[in-house]
Amino acid sequence: MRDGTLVEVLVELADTFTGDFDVIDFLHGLCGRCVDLLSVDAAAVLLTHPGGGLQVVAGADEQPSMVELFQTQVEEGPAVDAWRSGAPVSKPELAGAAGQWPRFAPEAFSAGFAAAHAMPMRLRNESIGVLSLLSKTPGELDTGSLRAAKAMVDVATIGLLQARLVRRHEVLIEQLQAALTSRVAIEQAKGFVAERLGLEMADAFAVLRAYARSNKRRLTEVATAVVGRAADVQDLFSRTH
Amino acid sequence: MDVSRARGRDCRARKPGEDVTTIRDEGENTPLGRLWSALGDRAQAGGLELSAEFACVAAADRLGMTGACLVVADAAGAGVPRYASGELGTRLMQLGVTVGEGPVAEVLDTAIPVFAADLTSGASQRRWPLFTPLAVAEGVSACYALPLVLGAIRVGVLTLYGIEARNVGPDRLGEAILYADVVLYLLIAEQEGRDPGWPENGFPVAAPEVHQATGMVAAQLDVGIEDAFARLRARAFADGRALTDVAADVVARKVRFVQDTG
Repeated sequence: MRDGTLVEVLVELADTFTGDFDVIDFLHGLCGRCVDLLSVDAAAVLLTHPGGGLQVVAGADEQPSMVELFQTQVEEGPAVDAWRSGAPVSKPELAGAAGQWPRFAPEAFSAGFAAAHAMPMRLRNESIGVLSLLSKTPGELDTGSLRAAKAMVDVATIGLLQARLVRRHEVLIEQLQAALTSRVAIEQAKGFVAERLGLEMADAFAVLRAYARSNKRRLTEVATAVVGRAADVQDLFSRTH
Repeated sequence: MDVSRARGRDCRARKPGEDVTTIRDEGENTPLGRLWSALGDRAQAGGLELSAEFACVAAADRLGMTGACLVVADAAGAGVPRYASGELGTRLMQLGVTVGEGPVAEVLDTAIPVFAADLTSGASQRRWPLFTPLAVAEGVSACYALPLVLGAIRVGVLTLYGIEARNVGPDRLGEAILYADVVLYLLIAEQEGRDPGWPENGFPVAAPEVHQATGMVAAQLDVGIEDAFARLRARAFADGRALTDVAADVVARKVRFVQDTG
């Protein structure tokens, strides 16, 4: 993986920090770029719930089985370990990890993954989330990928907090809570669109995202409008697929 | 007898190949579950029911605030005063509704928490030019307003107010959000007039299928998202099943909701 590519990706991601920035949409894109850039097969971001615990908020693959696999790590797995310790965690051979993670390791392995890595999102000595990576081939991340993963994690943190004054911890909590609420609204909209258009959930997400982009509206705002049956999103349902 | 308690935790819909022992306990062992139990015990010890009002007061105590107010959203999304723990809280709530501006109005609109540690600050004055001087004149100097929402479903706002400016630290802020979650679920349960059976069946927070099913039901019945959620819960209750189970069936398209005819 070339440094030039990393720079391009970072610039591309930073370009989204504009007025219509949507945190869930941004993190989804970031996860997708992680898969490309780091030569892994799945990526997801989990964020800290202000009251405690972790929650999946975005993944490169929105298929329910993948989301569920990442969500399993809320209690056990490289993601929660990295989140708690504040240090990256790497398991190049998931096959031998059942002792360490008796639920996650077999589940990931039977889903076809051979290696798992996780990097915490850190802000001033606190973990605010974690980037979880899964690979179908065993092995460590190479030096370049490790460096890129660290950069992606930093961008994810910045994206979450944007240019806002973060010296006050309250801002962080507001942003985390807003992200969690956005995620739920998007899930509700996915169901609505899936039903109306006869789609699977992952495809419903893609429709919402594409509509938000082409109409230059925030993903969360489109989601809220869809379940609110607002007049100005009805053209979403007249799309042909 | 609460039917929902008769079921074990392993009632969540299983995926093919997934065995019973891999089902996670989504209920009691979470921070929310533990707080729920603790508040329930405390209410019981005082000979009281665990109610939304009880949880509001507990939240204010925990944060060292003077009191709490609870506003619920009506069908149009406007805030309707529901409860205040003291005279000052009642006046604060009424003031916000009358002026149509302030932390509660903002939270109803954005669903993002508002933490106003010091209403006497210039920042507060600029942010709410009508609300702030009136609130300060009433004697309120700190105001923390927390959204009670499930995605696009706006249930209300929990406000914790203080007569002195107060910087609630990050840990307590996180706890406040947990208390708000408890209040949210109590309000939802109250709408059904029954014990929701939480946390045995898990809180529908980390269950994407519950939210997806809610959206699907809203489309199937052509109703608002709040009504869809109520219908989904009613179906779970009527069938004596966990909410997450019914939701999984809806998402798998094994269960459909049809509009009533006639």
